[in-house]
Amino acid sequence: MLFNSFEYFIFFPIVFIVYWFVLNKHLKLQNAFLLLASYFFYGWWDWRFLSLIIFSSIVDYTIGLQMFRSDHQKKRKLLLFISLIVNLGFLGVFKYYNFFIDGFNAMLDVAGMQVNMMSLNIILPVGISFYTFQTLSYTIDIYRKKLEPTKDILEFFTYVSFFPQLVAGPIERATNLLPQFKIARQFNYEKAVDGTKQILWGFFKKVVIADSCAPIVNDIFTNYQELSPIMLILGAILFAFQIYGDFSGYSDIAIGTSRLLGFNLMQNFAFPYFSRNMGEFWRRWHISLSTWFRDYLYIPLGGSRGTKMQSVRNIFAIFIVSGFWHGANWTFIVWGFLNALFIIPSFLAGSNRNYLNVVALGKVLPSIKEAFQILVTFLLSCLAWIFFRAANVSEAGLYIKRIFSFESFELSELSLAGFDDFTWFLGPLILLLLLTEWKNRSRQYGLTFISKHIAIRWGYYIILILFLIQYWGSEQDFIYFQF
Amino acid sequence: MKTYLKSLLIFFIVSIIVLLSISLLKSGAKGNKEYIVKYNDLVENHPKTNTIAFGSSHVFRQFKPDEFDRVTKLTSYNLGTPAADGLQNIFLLEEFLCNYENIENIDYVLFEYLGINKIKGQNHQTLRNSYYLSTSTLPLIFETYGPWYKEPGLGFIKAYLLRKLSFKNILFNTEKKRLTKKNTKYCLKERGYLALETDLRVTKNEKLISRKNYFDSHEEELLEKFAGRDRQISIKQKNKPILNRLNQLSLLKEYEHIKFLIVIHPMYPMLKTDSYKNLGILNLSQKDHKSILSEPKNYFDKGHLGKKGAKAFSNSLGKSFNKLMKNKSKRKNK
Repeated sequence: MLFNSFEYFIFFPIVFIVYWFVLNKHLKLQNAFLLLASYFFYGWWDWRFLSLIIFSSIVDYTIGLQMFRSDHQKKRKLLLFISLIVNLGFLGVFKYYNFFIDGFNAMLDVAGMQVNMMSLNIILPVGISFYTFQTLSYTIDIYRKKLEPTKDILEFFTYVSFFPQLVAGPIERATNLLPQFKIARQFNYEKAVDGTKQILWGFFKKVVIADSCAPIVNDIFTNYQELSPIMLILGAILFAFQIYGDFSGYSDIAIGTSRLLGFNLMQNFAFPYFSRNMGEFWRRWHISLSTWFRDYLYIPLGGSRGTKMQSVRNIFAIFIVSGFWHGANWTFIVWGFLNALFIIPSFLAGSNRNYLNVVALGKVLPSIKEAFQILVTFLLSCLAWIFFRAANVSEAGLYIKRIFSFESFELSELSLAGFDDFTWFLGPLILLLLLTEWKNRSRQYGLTFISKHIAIRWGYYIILILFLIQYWGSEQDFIYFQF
Repeated sequence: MKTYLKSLLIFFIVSIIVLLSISLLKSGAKGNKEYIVKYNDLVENHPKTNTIAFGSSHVFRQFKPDEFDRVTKLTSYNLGTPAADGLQNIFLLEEFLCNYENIENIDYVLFEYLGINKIKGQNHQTLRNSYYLSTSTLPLIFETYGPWYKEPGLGFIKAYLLRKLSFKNILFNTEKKRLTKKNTKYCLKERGYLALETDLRVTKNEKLISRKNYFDSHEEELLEKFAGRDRQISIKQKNKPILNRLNQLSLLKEYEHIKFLIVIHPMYPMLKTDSYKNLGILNLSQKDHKSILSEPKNYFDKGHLGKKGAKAFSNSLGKSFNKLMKNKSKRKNK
């Protein structure tokens, strides 16, 4: 079920009413109801793949308990190994099987051997990378003795399948989310209003910004060979806003929805396009995944503790794996590699952790130096996004090559790039997004604070609703569903 | 909890009141890009017009007022619009009847027989596909397609609400003119008729040239498709609501001086029509009119007649009109 679908607008109010009005005094029943609602939410897309979530939940629930009870390091290791095999096995089969088979076939072909191993027509289960990583963190944390497993199977199953963040994150750690299923939830007015505002802001980013950029980006990336550099640069910039609006919009809706149900999820985006270098960008973009890789891959590999060369190797490792996590395509791997490449200079210079604070804190505008840094970081991220968006690596290469072709712009390109009478409206809308987020850059999300005056606040919300109504209709999928 | 729900409810009520007020203060669109241009020309330059033709591109591109008037001795104007369906046409007709200041001069309305098209999801928020959705036209959709809560009725409601509450509705009264200057000049000179000939378009446009060539390679297929149909078919049930609405309009006292005529295009299969007390029917789908379609030179593409075909069609329509009127007066005399 999509957050921006008609079905969800029926589904969520029912869940909300039953959850707070009928079951508010029964914690267990509330959890059971959330589990049912989550399975319904996921099963609406394809009920057959519910079996994967259920199987993965059973395996990790059992392994978690067994691991905790055992003092034998070998047994604990074996149990962790089984959990890794099961979870990564699912991921490998459903997401990467064809990628490896195609690669293997190509390799044999180069070696002059004609063995054609069959690619399979496999459906990628929605959100598999998200819930797999969530359950993995649970078993790894128990193995590291950072977490006690839950004995309540209902709690664990609900934690794995919690519908607001099930299919596209934030990837929650058991240490944060699981305890929240144990405590009786109280409805909190402030929290609910905050959640509603965050949902509204998420919808604005998804429906108005991302979905309006999508057709133009599609046309530009399809017809890039006939377009001038200026249009190609515009295509990359619009894709940067499309993917930000799409993914951070989803996270905002997920976090806001959870708040309405009495849960606190982690912040997933902290205004990444206001970053001053790539290190800061990656501390602010898809935080739940970045910190996952930091805690479960980068630090175990040695992090920044070894020699410079080892640290550089570790940075490349997490970025390439992160790219591969996004999809079985070389474009994502190159995208990860490029991001690592952009971070290395500041890492070697020791400035990668320079900007831990919020840019221009307490000021209305950034300094010229900060503005320049923000612009450069944004353009670097746009360059990497070209690989993320392109169908294959050679297409991305040709796209970039054409940007430097110095061909002049012609008006007739606009129709080829999907421009219509209302495309010009996108500029002010993106500006509105940036200004609102700039104002709230030290807070949790873009719409946290608008004004003390209720008339201004409500007026602003009504304007957002007006835009939502206008742009609603195309109901495009969330990009991150495929990951 | 109660405070939260109360605040939410108040906020939504305020939002709806604000949005609807803005929407109501600004009058809705009065037509599509082509219609507005032609309607203004009719009001300003042709006040003595006594016959109006409504319809799709079958009218816009094929009803030639000069030729029709030559045969019938009437003074007609072509208010047809491309890609219009029955619903859009009935909306435009009703708008026309309510707003046209010289309505007492109108004696005849020619209305092309058309069904109601579904609106594709991605077009729900476009002005062109929603300006004609109103509380008066929506019931016709449900009569055609069934209950409002099922698709496609639900899609129409969505488009209607988007239209009512969208900022495009608030900012713009209609879509921008789409006709080129050259075409507008020609179209207004011909009282709303725009011929489909490459010499009127940009000749560099390869697509149009290849469309013209299309006939050469598909001649047999086209002749068989249009001219070769000789089986009588009843009018589809789903197309009747539009005709019934037209019948209701014709029965209204304020329009009793107007004769409403349904025009069935020759490109349709041979249609058997119901008889309406007040509506005249010019059924050009019958065998004796198919000769227009047997002549390859009359076509522009597989769905439209070119300049020559338009002349033949308008002539044929005029003759049918005369015949119908003659029969009517004979019956009256009897």
